[in-house]
Amino acid sequence: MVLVRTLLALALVGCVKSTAPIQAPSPGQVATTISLATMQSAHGEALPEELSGVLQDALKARNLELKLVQAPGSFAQRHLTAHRLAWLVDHSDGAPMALMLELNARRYDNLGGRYRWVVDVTLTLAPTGQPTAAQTKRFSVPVHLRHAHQGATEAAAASLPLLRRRLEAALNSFMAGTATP
Amino acid sequence: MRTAVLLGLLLASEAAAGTRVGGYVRVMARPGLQGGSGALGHWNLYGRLLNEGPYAMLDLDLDVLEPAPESGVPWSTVHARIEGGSVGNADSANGSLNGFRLSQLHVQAGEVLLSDVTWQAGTLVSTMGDLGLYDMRPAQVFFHTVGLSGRWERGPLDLLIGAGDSGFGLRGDRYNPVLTGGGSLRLAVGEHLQLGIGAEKFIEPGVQGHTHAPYHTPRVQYEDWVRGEVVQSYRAEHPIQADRFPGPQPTQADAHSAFFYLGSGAGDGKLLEWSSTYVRYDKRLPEGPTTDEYNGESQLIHVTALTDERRALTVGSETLFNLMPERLEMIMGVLWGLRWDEDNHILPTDHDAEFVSGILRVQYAATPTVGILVENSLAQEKSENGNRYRTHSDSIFANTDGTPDTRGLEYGDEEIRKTWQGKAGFVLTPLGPGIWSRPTIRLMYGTQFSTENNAFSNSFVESLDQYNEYGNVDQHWHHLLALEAEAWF
Repeated sequence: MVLVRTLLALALVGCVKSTAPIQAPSPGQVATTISLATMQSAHGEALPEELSGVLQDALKARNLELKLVQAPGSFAQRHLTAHRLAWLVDHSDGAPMALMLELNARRYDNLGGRYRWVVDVTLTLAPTGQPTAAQTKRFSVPVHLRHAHQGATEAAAASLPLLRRRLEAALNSFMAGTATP
Repeated sequence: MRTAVLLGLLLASEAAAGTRVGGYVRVMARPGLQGGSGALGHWNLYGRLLNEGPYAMLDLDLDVLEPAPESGVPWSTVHARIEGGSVGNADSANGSLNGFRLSQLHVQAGEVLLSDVTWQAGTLVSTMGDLGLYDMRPAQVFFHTVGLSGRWERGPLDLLIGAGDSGFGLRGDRYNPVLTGGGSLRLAVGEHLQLGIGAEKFIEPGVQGHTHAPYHTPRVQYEDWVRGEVVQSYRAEHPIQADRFPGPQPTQADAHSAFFYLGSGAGDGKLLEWSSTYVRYDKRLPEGPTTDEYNGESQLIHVTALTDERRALTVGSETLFNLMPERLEMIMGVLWGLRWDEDNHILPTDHDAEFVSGILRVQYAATPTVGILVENSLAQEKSENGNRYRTHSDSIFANTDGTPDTRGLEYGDEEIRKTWQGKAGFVLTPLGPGIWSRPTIRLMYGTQFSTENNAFSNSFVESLDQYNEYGNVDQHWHHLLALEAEAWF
């Protein structure tokens, strides 16, 4: 009986959902640029394949559509988020919202058999018509990779569960702000 | 203009110099209802799961000069680690800080003298992966060393070269310098194959007059030493006290190790995700002196010549299979080891043994955060110098040839110990499914069958003395319930 109760409790824990998404009042595109940097390169590391899917799901749940805008090589010279956001806004091609995700993956040690990386994330959301109202969140996601050969791309992929959560919270905050008169 | 406004808004919130705090924790409640102290078996040969105790590690990394990619500007970080194997209420040391140590402290610097080279001064340990099921790292260098290393990473190559002193790491308060040099090289052959090699050489020089330097006490027989009868034997031949016990002769000691690594796999989410195979060879450094007493006379016996032929060969492999992506994973590990000591042909020890082990772990994700884990392990350990394991509480009466041997060096009545462990339970993985997903909370049941009697850490009275009021216990099965948590952060 105890075992059955434990099983039920575990199953319930497994079904806990995240906060409900706040919908955009009308459908719209979100011009999105992603950049992955390391200690060696300021931009241009390969992005994990799953990343665009995570963004797509988070936006779709809020009545929004992902519009990927490929970052140019010159992003390596644009060190500041403000410069990069200005470029994105200029290339948003009519999308009402801009989302910029700047990831910086860095390995620093082996902890108990795992390679400890930290992915520093700068997440910026802005209405393209009013970029001064940009909302920027900075956070770090610790990830632990199994193998020595795994690099920044794998670290970024491993950061996705936490990154998704922070992205959804940021989108909710942003949507709540824009929806409030 | 728009850019200028954005700059003003965002510059104020640019992140300050980086500080990273990471670590690892492992804590558990495992009531030992059969007289054990909370572990299912003796050690990790049967899998780390349910056999390891609590552990905590705090790892700190601080940017002194923050790296600026592609700028060529020097950068530097300070790194420190505190770790230990005790947690309050979870083991006998009750979280005492005596069990913790500053195991790592080093400074790293880059873009200094050579581009793409990271210099590291301080502790130097470096690892090329591990056998996670066993919590073993056969591809490790500089574990005991403090010194300087340089790591050059470019494209498919990762080259590490270092040198330093392992004297404190290996000798502790009997410090004598142990000069150490070595390195490792990892080469990526495409996306799916990794090759690695590494080696270390240790030299402990003789220093005349330094009591902690390597010495050899002449005319000591191995059997006399292990029995603690060196002085007794000497006095049997030289009964006159005026005959001085032979003084130690200075010598020097050396050791070395080498490893090979082969990694291959299709990558994340594929059926054969990754397989790591390691081969490691060690020639160990000799022991320091021991004390021998007889009839009120105490002598330090220096045993460099009696312990300088200890060697170890270890081969291990671990393979992760994705049987159903995001649902069902299986990991398989095998480990074989041979230890031989050419100085010792009479005493069963860890240095003359052979072991082999296989582990299979399967984890099924019933939901993204709830899984079922099953693990099976089978192992055999063999002593190369005679009996070492007691199969019964009264095994002393059934020694070699069934005859008691009070002068014997053997212990027990079997030279082989066979162990089977089965473990199963529920796991919570808040970050999503995966056999290596952490943090994890586990509710486990484990059982062990061993040919050895009471084959787990315990406080049983083993004496067969008639005045042993606690009595003796015969048990080969061991059962354990465990609630445990493990996290990297």
